[in-house]
Amino acid sequence: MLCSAFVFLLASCGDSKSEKDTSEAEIKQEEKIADEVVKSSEKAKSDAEETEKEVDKLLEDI
Amino acid sequence: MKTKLKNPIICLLILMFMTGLQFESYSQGKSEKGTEKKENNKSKASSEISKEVEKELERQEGMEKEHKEMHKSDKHMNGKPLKMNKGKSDSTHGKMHGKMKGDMHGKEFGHIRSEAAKQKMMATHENMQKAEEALKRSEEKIAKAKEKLLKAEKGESMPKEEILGKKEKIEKAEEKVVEAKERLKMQHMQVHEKMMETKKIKKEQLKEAEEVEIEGA
Repeated sequence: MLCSAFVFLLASCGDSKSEKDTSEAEIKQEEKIADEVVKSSEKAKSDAEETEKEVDKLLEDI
Repeated sequence: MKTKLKNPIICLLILMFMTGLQFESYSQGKSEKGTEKKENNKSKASSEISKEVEKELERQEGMEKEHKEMHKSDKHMNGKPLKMNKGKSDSTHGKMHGKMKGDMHGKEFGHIRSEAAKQKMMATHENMQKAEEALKRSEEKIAKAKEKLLKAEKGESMPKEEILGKKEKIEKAEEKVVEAKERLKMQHMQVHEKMMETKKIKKEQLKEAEEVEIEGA
């Protein structure tokens, strides 16, 4: 009887819980990807700015 | 001994039979309830879906407007917004070629639900633009230096050795800019791929939801 009660409990709770979990997981994944993207864009920006400085140095006396 | 052993086995079998029966009756009841509910909620569901679609469309429009406003202030474009299709054909849609394609990101942002993620994506866009601007400035400086050196060469106001040394420096600067451009292109592609990843996740989830609805019907 305990087993059957447990099965019922799982069946009734499963639907709503899984929906919530998927939406939360989706948002978390989006934020994770956004973090990665921001980091790589910051790297690209600093890389370009460094190149500009190097070019400035090379063209200093021209 | 034998009767003692048989009793728990019989009990276990009865228990299993009972749980099986109960589970079956529960699932039957659930399906009946489900069909009744579906019939009752058919009209409700259609209106809810249309409302959700409207909301999603509004959200996407809002993001596109924001993005367009952001592009209005693009200095390197002389105040002109970036256009998605600069060329003649529509086949360029989706191909980045190391350049931001205007509205493209606005649409991509529309698929992102979290506000924080959207803001981060906008920050990414700004960073990439700043990187492009820095490289453009470097190119302009090189062009000016070349012009200056050409004038000096024509006017013979500078010894040949000095001119050669300066030419070498200009070439080095050019190489650095070309390399940096290549790197930026690669990083841009990576950013784009990651953005497409979020889009893909969204699509997959929509597909799953649709499949669940079909199964339920």
